[in-house]
Amino acid sequence: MEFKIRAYRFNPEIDEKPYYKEYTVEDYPGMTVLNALIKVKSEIDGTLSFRRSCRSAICGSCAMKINGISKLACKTQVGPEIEKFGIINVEPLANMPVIRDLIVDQESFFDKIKEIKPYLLGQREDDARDNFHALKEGEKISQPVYYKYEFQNLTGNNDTPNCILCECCYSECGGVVGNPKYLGPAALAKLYRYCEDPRDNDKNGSRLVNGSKPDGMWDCVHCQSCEEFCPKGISPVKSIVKLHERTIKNSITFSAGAKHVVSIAKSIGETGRLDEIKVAFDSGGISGLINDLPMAFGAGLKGKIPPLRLKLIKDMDDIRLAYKELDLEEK
Amino acid sequence: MITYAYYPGCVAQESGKELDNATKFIADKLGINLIPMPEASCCGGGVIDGFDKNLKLFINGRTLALAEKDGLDIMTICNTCTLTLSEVNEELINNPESLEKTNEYLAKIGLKYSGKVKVKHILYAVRDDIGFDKLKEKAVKSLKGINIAPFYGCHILRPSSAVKFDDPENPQGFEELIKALGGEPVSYGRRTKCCGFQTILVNEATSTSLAGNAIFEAQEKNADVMVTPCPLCHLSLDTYQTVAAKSINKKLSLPILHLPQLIGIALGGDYAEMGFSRHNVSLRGIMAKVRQNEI
Amino acid sequence: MLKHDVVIVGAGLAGLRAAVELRKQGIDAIIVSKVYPTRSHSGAAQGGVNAAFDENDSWESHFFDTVKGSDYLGDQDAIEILTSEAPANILDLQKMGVVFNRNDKGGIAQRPFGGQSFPRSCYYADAVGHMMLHGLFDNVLKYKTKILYEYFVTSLVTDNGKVSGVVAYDIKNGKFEGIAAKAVLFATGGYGQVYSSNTNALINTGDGMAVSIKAGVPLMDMEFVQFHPTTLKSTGILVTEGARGEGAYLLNSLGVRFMSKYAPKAMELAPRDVVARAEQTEINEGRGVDGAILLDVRHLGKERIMERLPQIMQLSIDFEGVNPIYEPIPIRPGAHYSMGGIKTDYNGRTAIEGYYSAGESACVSVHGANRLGGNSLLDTVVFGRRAGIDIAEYLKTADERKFDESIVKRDEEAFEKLKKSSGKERHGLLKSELQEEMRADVGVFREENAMKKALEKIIELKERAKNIGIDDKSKTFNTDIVEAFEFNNILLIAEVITRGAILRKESRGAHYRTDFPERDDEKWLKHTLATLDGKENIKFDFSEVAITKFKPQPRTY
Repeated sequence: MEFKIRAYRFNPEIDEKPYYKEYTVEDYPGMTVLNALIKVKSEIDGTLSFRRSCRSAICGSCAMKINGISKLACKTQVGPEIEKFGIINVEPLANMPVIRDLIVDQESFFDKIKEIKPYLLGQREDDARDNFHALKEGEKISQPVYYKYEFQNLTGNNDTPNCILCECCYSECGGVVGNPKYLGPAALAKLYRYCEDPRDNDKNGSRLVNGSKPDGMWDCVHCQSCEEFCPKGISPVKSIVKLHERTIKNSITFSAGAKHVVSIAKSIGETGRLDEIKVAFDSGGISGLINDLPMAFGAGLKGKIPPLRLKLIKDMDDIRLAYKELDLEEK
Repeated sequence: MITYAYYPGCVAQESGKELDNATKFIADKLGINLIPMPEASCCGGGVIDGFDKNLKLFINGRTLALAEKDGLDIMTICNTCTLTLSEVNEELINNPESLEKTNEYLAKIGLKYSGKVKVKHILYAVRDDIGFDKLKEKAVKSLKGINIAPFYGCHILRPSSAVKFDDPENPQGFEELIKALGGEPVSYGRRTKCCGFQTILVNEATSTSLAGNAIFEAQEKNADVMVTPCPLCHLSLDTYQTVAAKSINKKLSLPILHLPQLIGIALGGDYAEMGFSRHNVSLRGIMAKVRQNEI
Repeated sequence: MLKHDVVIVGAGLAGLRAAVELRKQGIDAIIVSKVYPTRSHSGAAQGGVNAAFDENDSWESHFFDTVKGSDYLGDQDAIEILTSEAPANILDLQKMGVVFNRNDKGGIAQRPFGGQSFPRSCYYADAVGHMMLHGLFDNVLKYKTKILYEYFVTSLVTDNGKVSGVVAYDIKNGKFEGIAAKAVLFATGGYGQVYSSNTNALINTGDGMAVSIKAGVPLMDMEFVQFHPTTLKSTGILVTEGARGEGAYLLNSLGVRFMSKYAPKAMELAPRDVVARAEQTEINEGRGVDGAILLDVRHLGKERIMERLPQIMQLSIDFEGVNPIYEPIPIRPGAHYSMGGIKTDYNGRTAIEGYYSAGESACVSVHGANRLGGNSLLDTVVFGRRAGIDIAEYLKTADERKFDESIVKRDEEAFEKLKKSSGKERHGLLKSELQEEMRADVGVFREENAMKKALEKIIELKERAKNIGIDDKSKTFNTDIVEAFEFNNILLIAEVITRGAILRKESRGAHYRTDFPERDDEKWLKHTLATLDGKENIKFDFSEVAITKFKPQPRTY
């Protein structure tokens, strides 16, 4: 059966602007989009350019937008895509500048990975006990002890160390679209991975402090796209929320994002409901409120501003008990 | 008559009150019996697990248990409430440890949860439990000649491990609704993208640019109106539309409907009944068009 | 032109390990890689990395297992180093941040592997290569290492018998760059793309080996190609030996665990060459299922599969349409590893002063005629580290040397000439022809006439390659021309392999000849060394195997 591939083409050397080129390919059972691209390149048009290597979803080279969604080409079967969309559209990943055709410039992505310091902090380099020791005859070596539970958040199937840096999450991320300087899901998931590592010796919680600064963990819009489209089943957004939790529990609450969450928790703890005005004030402060005055005024004229004191929910004590049980009451 | 436990969420009860009113209006017309849940708390605003993950389980487990006590499913009218309740539901059903921990708390307040409740967003409750055909029968006004841009937003589509109403890659539920009501769905890329609401108080400029660009794209595709199933998205898209226009430096003027208002108009709701005076961008133009489309 | 003290070509495990060793001493070492480092094929290794930790195990046992596994062709002095340094290297990796699964005593979890007499393969689910690669890469970032990625090295430059640098093609910008250095390490991986049906990445085209032999450095034992027994039928994607380590069965069409016929003691965990031949025999004799054998893990149960073998479960579902929890996986042998490579000593040194190699591209030889599973990951870090240490030492007394810039020009002109070509042949199709021929005639079972046919094909393809047409005339990220150049490399490697296989008239390890089915220690207990005589002819020489502790015995499992 024949099908069409519609590929984004752009070579800044010779093209004024991008265009799309269609190719017709014969499929076979189990054919992947990468198989199809290689076929086109090998038999029809050698100028079609894309990255690829392992073809088994472990190297992360072949990520691209297939029918509008960022996926690994080597893992995407042609059959279901044709069934759903009638054609295979291939385009370069979003949120990164295009070098040529389906190849994007990944420097900004990798810079953000580097920025979160993706290596164990606070390691003693000079500890004599750690000297390298080749075994002599009859010798055995002893190893440091780390129990299963210490690594339990790093050794599951869908855990953050499985990240292959394919950039699918980054390409789908709503936060990066709005704020190009936002660290993004992969970098933050890696930050979480190192925060969870029992060997990481991050005194003063510098990881969480730095991660709370502007363009860090609080710039996540919770759009859930990273979790939905990660080809390795990782959920960066859940890792980011765990970072939020850890940050707040460590009283690192200087950021507007942290204040926002704490305010909502407080509001629910007192009324069982979300007090929009109070939360807006706590998160943005006076300057935020002043900034939004025109919008708020307009909304006020239309009757949109909620009352200053909300009615409590029925059986509010139930909620108070929950806070008490979890030791979350305000001290 | 179909009965649900009604969970409107916090914003729909206050700044988004027009949504709550419109929902009750169409429930009445469609024979949906909405049982109020005065004890139900806020779901946590989509961020409560960033404060404490067990708190999210407890307060939402309680909401689920309250519905289960009356043998009801929950109907929601907000994306984030839908996702939160669905996520907690999935966890309680699949993770025995979480269920045990939650039931320990619930026991202290005379409740228990056994995983029987389904959480349904009104769009999909209408699609699945009533049927768009039945809706079509009951319509008294057609939306013919009106280009309607559906804005799904994020939380009724993703993650599909929690919310399973529609295909996250190519959802069609909204388009089917619009077509059933005689309207013309507008096809545009940002229909499943984020409105930015979660960071509106953290980084207003970048957050509103997301809503702004979605509106702009729909405008470019000749949309007359945009519809959203979430009051949080509605705040971003409508209440903050002027701010959004400034942050992307483009002219924006697209009226934004809540989903129940779209259905409400088709079922004969007028300007006052739909609460349109509370909107930032005027609905007068749309209502004028609809007035001519008596079925 | 760039100038650094050390250039490391290849950013897989061996290259990155050497880089960490050099950079933590602040040495001016840069990495040059054809792809972004984390894309390197080391990341695809799944099952485990061997080291003797358990109190009931010993490195000496690992030593013997490896010597026997190599069918006595491995150099025992090097293997002694490999196995005695193994535990320290693994702990070193752990200290650098690599995560391993834990056993109940709090130590690193280990599983049984082929040809090992004790469960000593340290694992991380079934993605240990990925974990090690990313762990080492994070450390390379920690020591702020300059990385030139998407640079394709075309030549080694020497000055009077000493290395003086490399020539590299900047793929993104289409420019040639000379990089002068006092020491060069090639950690460029294997040549799996010589064969159709292989587990290797598309980038594994033996570039480093091709460049080396052209620079006058001998390649050793190239005829020894490892065929991994369990690769997915449709795609050749690897299914780890770790599955068999966890207890998987191999079944033929009659539902029989046929390994009892070929390796009654070790069964499914016999060394890879034994298992691959067993499978191929079953298939050839009509007991295959659609040309494949069945790998059955159903009896392991859902929980164990999801905890210990999640990646291969996902691979089976995604690429073969089979869920191993409910159905057996169809597999067959596929080209997997290059035992041979650039000849080095056990510090990574080659015949050219200052020029080193480590990892799969090198041949020390620790794997001899057959590599045991779990030993390659070990090989990369043990000898990557040793090469790094030796280079650091060498730099202390290394003198200045001249970088011959005319080589840059020469390579540039060759590329431009190739780019202009508009012949009828398409290199992608020529590659497929070569690969299929190699699989058929220089594969698991070899024979004189079949191999001679392969040689004829190679010679024919060399001729036809002169008539290749290049579609892409651009400078910007021209993958068409890079692939054409890679094709020339695999053609050269294929010839070296085939000629070596024809020459060696015995069967040993992975090299099995139906016309010479016995091992012949008297005539053939020696390494083959291939060199290029002038530009075209491949010449063979031999070198001794270092036999220090274990006298060659008959090899049965």
